[in-house]
Amino acid sequence: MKKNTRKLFRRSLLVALILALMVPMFTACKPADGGQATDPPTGGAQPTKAPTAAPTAAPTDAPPTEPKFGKIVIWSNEGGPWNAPVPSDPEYLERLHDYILENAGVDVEVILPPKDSDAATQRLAILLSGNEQMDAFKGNVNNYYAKGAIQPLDDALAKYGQPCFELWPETYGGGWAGTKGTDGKIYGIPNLPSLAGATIYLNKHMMEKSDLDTTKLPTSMEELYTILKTFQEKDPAGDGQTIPMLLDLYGMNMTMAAGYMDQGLDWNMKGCFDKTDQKYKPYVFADGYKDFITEMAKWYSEGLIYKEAFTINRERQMELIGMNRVAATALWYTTVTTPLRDAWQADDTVDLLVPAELKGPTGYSKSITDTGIEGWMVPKKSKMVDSVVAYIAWLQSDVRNYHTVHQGFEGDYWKLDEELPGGKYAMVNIPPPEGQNKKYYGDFFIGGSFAMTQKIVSRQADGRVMMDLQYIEKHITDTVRTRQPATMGFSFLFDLAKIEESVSRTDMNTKIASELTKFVMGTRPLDEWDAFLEELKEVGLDAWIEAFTEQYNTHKIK
Amino acid sequence: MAKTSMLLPKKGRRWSAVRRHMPYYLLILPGLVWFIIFKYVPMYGVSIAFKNVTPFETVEDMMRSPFIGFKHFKTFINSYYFEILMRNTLEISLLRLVFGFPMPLIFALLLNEVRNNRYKKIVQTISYLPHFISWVVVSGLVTMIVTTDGGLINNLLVLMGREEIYFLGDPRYFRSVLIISGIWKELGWNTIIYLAAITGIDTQLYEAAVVDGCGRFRRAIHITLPGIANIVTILLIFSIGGLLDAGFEQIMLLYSEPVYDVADIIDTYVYRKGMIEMNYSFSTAVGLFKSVIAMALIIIANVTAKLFGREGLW
Repeated sequence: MKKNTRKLFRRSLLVALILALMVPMFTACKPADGGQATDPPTGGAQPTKAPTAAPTAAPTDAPPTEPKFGKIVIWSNEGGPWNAPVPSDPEYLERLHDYILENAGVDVEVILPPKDSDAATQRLAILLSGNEQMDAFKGNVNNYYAKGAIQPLDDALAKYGQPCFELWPETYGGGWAGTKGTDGKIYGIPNLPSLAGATIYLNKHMMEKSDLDTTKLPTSMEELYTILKTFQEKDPAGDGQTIPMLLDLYGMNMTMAAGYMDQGLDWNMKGCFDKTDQKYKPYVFADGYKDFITEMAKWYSEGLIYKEAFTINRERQMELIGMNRVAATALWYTTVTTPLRDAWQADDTVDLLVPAELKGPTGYSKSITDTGIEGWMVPKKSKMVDSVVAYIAWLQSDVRNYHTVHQGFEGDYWKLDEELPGGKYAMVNIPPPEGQNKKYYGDFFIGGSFAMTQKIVSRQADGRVMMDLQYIEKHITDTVRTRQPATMGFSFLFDLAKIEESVSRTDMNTKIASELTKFVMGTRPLDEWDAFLEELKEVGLDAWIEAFTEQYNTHKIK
Repeated sequence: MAKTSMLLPKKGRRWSAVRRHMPYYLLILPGLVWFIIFKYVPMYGVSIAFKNVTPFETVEDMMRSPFIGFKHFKTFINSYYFEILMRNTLEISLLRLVFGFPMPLIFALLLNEVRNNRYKKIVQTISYLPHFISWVVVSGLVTMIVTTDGGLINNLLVLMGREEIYFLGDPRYFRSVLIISGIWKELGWNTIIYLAAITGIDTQLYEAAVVDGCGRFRRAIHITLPGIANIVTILLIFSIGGLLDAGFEQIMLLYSEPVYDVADIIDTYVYRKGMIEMNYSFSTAVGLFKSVIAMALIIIANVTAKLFGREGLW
């Protein structure tokens, strides 16, 4: 009897153990509550939780209402949280969430992208192809359309999108045209016009420390070279820590290559038009491009370009800039202004100078991109297209809505000063209290629009203009002192899906990027340039030229 | 009882054995279910290698998509990157095998000879630790050590009057960084199985050898090594099976454009095609191609081991 009891006890224990093992396994497999639209996103980058209780101090003091448009989950890649030194304050987020719910009728949840750009790309790809809810993101509309990853917005725009159409004026060129698919439908709400976002910056402090005249900015590559040499010799950062120039492949090409070519560098399509045989080819075939790479290789070999320039990521670039080691940069402008923001606010002599008149042997050295094809999109699997468009329309309908969600409640970090002529507004930035970070970095913000940026004249309390805004105001849309690509005004019409049928753009871009960095770094001798161009045939050069030339001829502006 | 079961038909005997060992079968059940759900059911996804499916379609769309045969496989094999990827993958893996495989074995033999148990345990623990550090952290450490911007190794080189070496950006040195950091991270962990196998060797053999006048080196060569030869063979078969796994995570975190030529492997290519280009069908085909080759390698290694009279996997 005793033996049987022990046996029974052992078996019961065993069954309990098996159940204990199996129950968590099955509960882990079970979705939270089945429906995609209401599923809270899980895993990876954590979403900002929607509050369940009444707001602690929402401006309206009203309890959260039922969302008029349902819950949307946004991929918050406008850049605010990405560039923030610390995460936003949860309590502030809760208040703002309730404010949006109350005023826009949308229950917004946020997925914050990882700071590492590769990890962010990977996470976005998983979100687009997986079952997790994600309803809005920003990116290159042409690329995502070609992959079939997004859905048309026409119906939703017809219902709610009037403010978006009113905000984005015709004068920005393409815009809406750039976010259309080959089927004529609108797949994105425009975000940016034609831009020259990559720039050469010279650190004013370092110029002064190096006894360089800050009123005489370089106008030729020779003068720029001399300035970099001076930085190297004078070592303004001290202890041999000065980095004369920090750049990456994109920045190097977009800020200087056009000065050696007969056209702007077309970074969207990574090509150039060869007038001699009327064909559209990869940009490395452009006349003068080899001379440009030869010059860069010389600068690199002389230690003017940071030795690890092509292997570090954006975080490390910003770290080096923030350490005050970098004298000149050829990078995307916010990569430089963001890490210097605090120093700029504390010291009004900190400044960055843009050599806007810089020219190479053939003319201005900076390239401008084609008409904006970047916009706000809704993934193909999302069921919340109306809610997303309604939310963006609400944001874009009023400068206060826009800036509240972008920068926090009015009076905390900004306030509108006065209405200016031409429908513009003067805005004063309010810095956070001394030694404190802001409590909010734009987590809930989507629908960012260059058109809205243009409506605001933003100043610090002391009247100074933030460095990034200075660049936006004076340089970013400068079409006079920049070179335009051969596909200006129509590259967004290229049928990328058709091109991809005959050639892999990524394979070609990868091969070119890899070899260019080797030429500049000197790990491949420049005598092999012709051999390199020949090697591109093995990657599918002929098919590439044929596919792109066909698109060029079909869509070129006659 | 045994006699009764002998009288039962074969099928009945088997069922009776199952019933007798039911608790153990039940214990296997959760693991089996886990395998079916997470390993076998997703294998359906492999079918997209033979279709042209975009990842933004539903499962029903995937099922309905027409088969396009081996198109993606042909595209990959005919592509410019095929030769480079195969060469890099195999070369990096072979380097890992040649330099990385014997290291834990040698380390285990050396540890086995340490007589001070306290010292032995300390060495073992320290050598295991890097295994528990993620590649993200290890790659950060490696970058700091080999950087030209104040890194330890380059500082030493400069002190010795030598030129700085850009280890992570120079194709001539990049693979050395991969292999050495890989060995450093996994050396201690990989000795565990060898040390466990060594404890299974009959101690009388060592005693007899000592009586016969054998020194430590000869005991290691003639007793310890043959005693763990089967384990070494099995681990070697596993290593050969994983020959096409050249270390995705490590390479992904350390490589960059200047060293693509020597570091781009099948897995990084699959990542680029799948995650960056979102060409899931093609990247699945490349991944499947890799798995088939890996399977073939395991079979070849197993057959070869048996031909040499060693114990195989099956």
